[in-house]
Amino acid sequence: MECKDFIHWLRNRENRQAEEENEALAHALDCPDCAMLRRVDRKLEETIRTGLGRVEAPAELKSNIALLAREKPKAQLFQHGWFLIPVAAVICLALLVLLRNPLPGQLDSLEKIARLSEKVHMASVPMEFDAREVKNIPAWFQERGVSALAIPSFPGRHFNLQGGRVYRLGKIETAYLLYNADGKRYSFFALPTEKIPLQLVNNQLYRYPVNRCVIEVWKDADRVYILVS
Amino acid sequence: MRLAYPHLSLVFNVAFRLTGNCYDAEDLTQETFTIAYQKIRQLREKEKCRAWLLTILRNLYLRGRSKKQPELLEVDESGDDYWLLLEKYFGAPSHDELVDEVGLAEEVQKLLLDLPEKYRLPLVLYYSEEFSCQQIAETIDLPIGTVMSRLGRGRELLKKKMLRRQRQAEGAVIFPAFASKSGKKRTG
Repeated sequence: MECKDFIHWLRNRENRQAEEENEALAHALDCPDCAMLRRVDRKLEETIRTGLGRVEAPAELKSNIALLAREKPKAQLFQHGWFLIPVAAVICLALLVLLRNPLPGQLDSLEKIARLSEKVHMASVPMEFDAREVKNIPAWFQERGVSALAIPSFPGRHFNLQGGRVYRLGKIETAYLLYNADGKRYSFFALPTEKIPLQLVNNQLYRYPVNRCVIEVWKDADRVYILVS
Repeated sequence: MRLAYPHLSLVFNVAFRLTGNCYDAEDLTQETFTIAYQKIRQLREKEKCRAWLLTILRNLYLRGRSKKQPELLEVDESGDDYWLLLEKYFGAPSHDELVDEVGLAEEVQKLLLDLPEKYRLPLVLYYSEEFSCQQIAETIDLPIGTVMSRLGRGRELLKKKMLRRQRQAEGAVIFPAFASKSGKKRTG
């Protein structure tokens, strides 16, 4: 082996062949310069190993990471795809419901007003007061938080007031009066205009038949009235 | 969690060697484990946890480094071959002064930081963690040939820097204890 082969052997650290080693060592014995190069290189190698010795992680960091690990399950819960599926499903369902019925409980269409009032009418709910006992009906309602009710006259109709109560149509509290005329029951609801997100023409009668009932809706200034017969 | 935590020391050590200081290494380690815990489900092969952690660490480091300063492109000022440099410095050994080997060992970390990351990581894993070339290849997901060439090149670059640093030191001579008094002519 010559010096250049020896240096090649030194350089080729990762691919050294076992048989070359004996030749190289024999050459080093014979060539002090090459032997010195090998020794210096080995010394540099050791110096790198010493200089790059393992550094231990500080204890505080270890405990921080351990803490982090304990928090993991909570954080991981949100990482799971399966966790998101029911959440997404619920959101979709809620969106669907909202799309079909954007403001549940709101009297946002005449059709809804008609259906709800017909339902109340047919349910024959008990009255809270008897017409013979209460003289000032608007005041009775006002005491119960329902704004002043101006009872309209019903020209051409001979209605006898039976009683009244506060009743919710959807989510809106109304003044509910029950009338009787010719043996038939009539339900009457009065509520403030601002509670209904509808553009109704003043004093125009809207008439809706629902099942066997007829529902009449009209607006008079700041009141909306509903009559079910 | 049980998979990742045992590799904490390795991750910190590599982080320290890459950044060169304890504070950045701690931040980098903490960030690595935070991401690892968040994404542990993505780890399909549990036996590859170590490599996976080092990949996260390396990506975080490179991302952070690119924000601070661009990666070194020029690594060798002279173009000298390490072995030629070694020969040059040891061609006429005549000094007897002792060399501060401890000082040089302390310099190794600083000199390592002057190398591009592609050489640094294999060197750290080889010298600091005593990984084999095969283990390094698996860890940083490179062909073993590439690892061997980067390791060889990185090693020679680092040694050259060490030689120059030692040469620059006033009155210092590299490892005079090994200096040959032989005047024999080199062969070949």
